[in-house]
Order: sequence, then C-alpha cells, then structure tokens
Amino acid sequence: MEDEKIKRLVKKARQGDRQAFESLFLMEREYLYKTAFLYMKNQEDALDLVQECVMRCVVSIESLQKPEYFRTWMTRILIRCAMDEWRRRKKYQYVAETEVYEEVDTGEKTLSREDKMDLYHAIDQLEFPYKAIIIQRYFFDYKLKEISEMLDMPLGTIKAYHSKAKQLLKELLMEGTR
Amino acid sequence: MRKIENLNQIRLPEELDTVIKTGVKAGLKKGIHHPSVRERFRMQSVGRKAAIILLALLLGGGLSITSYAVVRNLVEKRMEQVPKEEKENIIEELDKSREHTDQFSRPFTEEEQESMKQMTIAYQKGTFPKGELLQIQEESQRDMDRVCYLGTKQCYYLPERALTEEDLLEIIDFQTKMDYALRDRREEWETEGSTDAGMHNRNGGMADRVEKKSSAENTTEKITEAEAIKIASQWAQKLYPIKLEDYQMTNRLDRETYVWKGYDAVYEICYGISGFEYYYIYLNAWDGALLEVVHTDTGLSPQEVTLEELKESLPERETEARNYLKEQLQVEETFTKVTCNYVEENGKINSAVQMAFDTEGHTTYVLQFVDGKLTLYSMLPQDAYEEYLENYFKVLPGDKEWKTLYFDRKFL
Repeated sequence: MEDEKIKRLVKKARQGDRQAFESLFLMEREYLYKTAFLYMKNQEDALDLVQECVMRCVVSIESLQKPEYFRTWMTRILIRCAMDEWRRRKKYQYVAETEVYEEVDTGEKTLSREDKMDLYHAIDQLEFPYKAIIIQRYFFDYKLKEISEMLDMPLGTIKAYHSKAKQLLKELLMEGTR
Repeated sequence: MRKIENLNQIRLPEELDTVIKTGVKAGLKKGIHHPSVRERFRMQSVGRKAAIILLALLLGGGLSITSYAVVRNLVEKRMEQVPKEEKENIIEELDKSREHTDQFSRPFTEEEQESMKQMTIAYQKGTFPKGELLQIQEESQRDMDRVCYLGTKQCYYLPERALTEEDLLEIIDFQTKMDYALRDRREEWETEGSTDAGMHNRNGGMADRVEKKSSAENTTEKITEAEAIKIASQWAQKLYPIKLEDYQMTNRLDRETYVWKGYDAVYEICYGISGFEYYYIYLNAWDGALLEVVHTDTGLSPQEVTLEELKESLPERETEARNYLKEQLQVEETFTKVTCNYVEENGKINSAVQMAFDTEGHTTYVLQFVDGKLTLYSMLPQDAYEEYLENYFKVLPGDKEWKTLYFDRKFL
C-alpha cells in the first residue's frame, strides 16, 4: 500500500509536481531529520542538511530508478551531503556538543551520560565512510548489505570499513578514558 | 556493539516542515535535471585543460589492453562462470540472515591478517583456490580442520590451526561471489527500474552497463568507459605511489551524486585491495576531466608542527607543491594567488597543512601535506574553495582558528 503511494508520488514528482515532492519528503520527515541530526549533532546544521538533501533529491529525481527504494536513495544523497559538509569542516568543529547532550540525555538507560559524550565525540572524529557506517548500522540498525546499497559500495568493502570503523572507534574511546 | 541510540530522544524542530518545503522549492527552481541538457555541464568542468592534454596523449598512443586489464578479466570471468542458481542461493541466505555482517569463530592472527592481504592481491591477479569453501547447513556439520561457512548465521568457522593460503583463498573467493551476486541483483533492479520509469526517464541514474544500451545521441560525445579507465589509471599512478597491478579496479557511471554540482555523468573508478585500502578517482564523463580523488586510508591524526616550523618550511613546501602540480598534474598555468591554510590550536598546527593555488581559469588546486606526504586534496572552482574557508571561520569555536598565510604575489 505504502509502496503504491510512493510510486504514484514519484511519478508525479518526476513531472515536477511540487506537492508530490513535499508529500514524499514530509512522509520521511522524521527519519530524514533524525538521520541528519546524528550526522551534524545540532539542530541548526541538521536542518541545513535536510534542506540541502531535499534540494539535491528534487534536482536528481530522475536518477531514482525504483520508487520503492526512495528511502535508500534519499539516504544515499543525505550521506553525500553530510560527507561534503564534513570535508568542508574536516575535524575542526566542536560547537555542537552541548546541544547533543541536552537532546539525548533524557531517560537513557543503556549508556551513561559520560559514555554518550565520549561516543559522540569519537564518532564525530571518524572519517567517511566509517562515520556513515557506524551511524546507519548502530543508530538505525541497518544491515551492512543495506548500507552497501545506500553507499553504493560493494558489500566486501563495507564489511572491511565496518570492521575498521569499530576498531577506530574503540581506539578513540580508549584514548578518551586515558 | 549493540544498537546504541533511542532515536525518540531527538526532538523534531517546529520549522522542519518549512525547511523541507523550502528545499523542494529551491530544487524546483534549479530545475529537475534532464540528462540531455549537456552543454551547461560540460562548460563547468574544472581541470579541463590538463585532462584534455592527457586524453589527447592517451588517445594518440592508442588504447592498449594492459596486463592489468587482462588480470581483472580473470576474476570477472571466474565470477561470470558461477551458476546463477549459486549466486541466488548466496543472496537468499544473506537476505534470511539476522546477522548484520560476517562472523568469524575466532579472530585472525596478525600473520593471517597479513597473509590475507597478500592472498587478496594474488587472487586479484588470478590465483584462485583449488577447492571451494565448505558450506554447511548447521553448526553440528562443522569440520574442525577446515574453514566452514554457515549461511544462516553468516558465520565462518575457522580451524584452530593457522590458516593456509588455500583457506584464505577460499574465503576470498566466496566473498567475491557474494559481492558479484549482489551487484548482479542491483543491476537487475536498475534495468527493471529504467523500464518502470518509462518516458520520463530518458537515461538518468543508470549503471554503466545499462548506459551502453541508451541512444547513440547520448554516447557519441562522451568518453568511453575504456578511455575513462585509462585516464584514471594514469592519474592513480601519477598521484599515488602504488602498483596498480596489485589493486582491483571497479568502475561505474554515476548520474546522481554530482548532478547538483553541475556534472550529470561522472565516472567513479576505484582501485582497491579488498578490505584493506581504496583509491577513488572521479572523472567528468563528458571530457575526462579529473574532478576529485579520494584515498580512504588517510588516517585520523593531523600532524602537529609549530607555527614557527611551518613558517620556516613554507618556501620548501611551496616549491614542493609547485613541482607536484607541474610534474604530477601537468598544471603550468599562471597562479593568481597561492595560500597556505591550516588550523591552529594553542599555538600548534592541528590539521593537515593545505597549499591552495588559484589559477586564472578560476580553478583552485588544493594540495595537502599529511604525515609529510603531499597529495592532491581537491580540485574545485575558486569560489567553492573560498566558501570552504569562510565556513571554517564561521564554525570554529573558542581556541581553534582557521588561519591562512597569504603569499599574496603573482607568479610567472
């Protein structure tokens, strides 16, 4: 049912229908924003990323081959937008930490506040594609096979990156506890 | 690692819907990209001159089939011979598996890890296992002296003894089959997708294989896949100290990632040792111009030198960078501005040091020193680099600051 709706909307969107575009992205608003937030760590930048992603998706809607993979396709573009932004800011942005702690520190049982601070800090230091893999895998629970589709990379490559990402993350977290 | 976040804790801002609508509006204002609108994209190529010279040299010399290509074909050929049914079974088990990635019954030793890298290179050069990986249906069928694979658990059971080259080759071979099986499925989807899209989808977003089926009108003015590979191999050898014959090459035509930057068709050529390191080269598919290079194993730690050390070494770095541009990239244009950029923290340089060269053609070449080595960081339009620097100033907090040393003089 949902797939049929998406198919219809994509068809209309391809014809330049503004409302169809809006409906598609509003349907995914929560996933879109939360993903963006995890990549950017603060509301302002997350909103910027959402807007950039939506804009790029509209421009390249013709590259979406299978409408039922709308979310995967959109995620791929979102990650690319985030990647571009990281490259621009590479490693030097620390402004958003306070906001992150405030936003995620309610009712969390699995990780302590300190653990979470370290974790966010460590993830933030990872390079593409390690950061993307960690976020999609451990925040959204995507399988590596699905992430390979999102990033358009062979599964073998993603597996290797995933393993390296975990190792790097571990090193960064251990560094933080010294 | 387990799933680590409760996403409900991230609150949606009130302005989210407005932001989405603004994004849609901005996108529509830019216009939905139709691949047939070509002129605009070709005109925006950066590094065009260098690429065209290189292309002319390559084409002038003819396109010979290198031993590298022959080697690559050996793996391709082997994978093409894998029965469709076998590939489908592999995917079916993957789809069923609840595991997110492969599991190993024990970690590799350091020696095995090193051997794995060597065997990966050997495999890519055409050394294949004599036998096949033993696949089992349940754990009880495990052979303690052989590597076994249980699909439903996505688990490789390794013997306690040291893994032999044959063991490692069997694992590599199986994982390669898995990759090819997934690639085949994705291509199938893309082909189906192009049919679904009907008249609205003239040739957008297609993988390279599908691209070849598109109309002659869309292919006559582009460089071919073979030309792109040839150009990329030249760049890879110029830019990096690597032996290409040790790397597996993959390529694809990307019709979506760069559209927003004005490039409707970009070849992505990757040289990799599976699981170890990768070099990506991006070429404008219209003229072969180099758009971007990415080396994925650049390390996390920026170098730390003092400002004094940097200032002292500037003339030397500048000369090195100029030589690099001239010798590696064949860039001999007049530079309108040369800057050295770095991030300072507590009096120390806490970043890679960048050297940016603006040309009269408004292209900026950004070179970067990482661990004492010089590499091409980016080639981009001048205003894009300026924007990049401006953004640094905006986002840098407290005691960190993006600094620029202006040479502020013209050369040549």
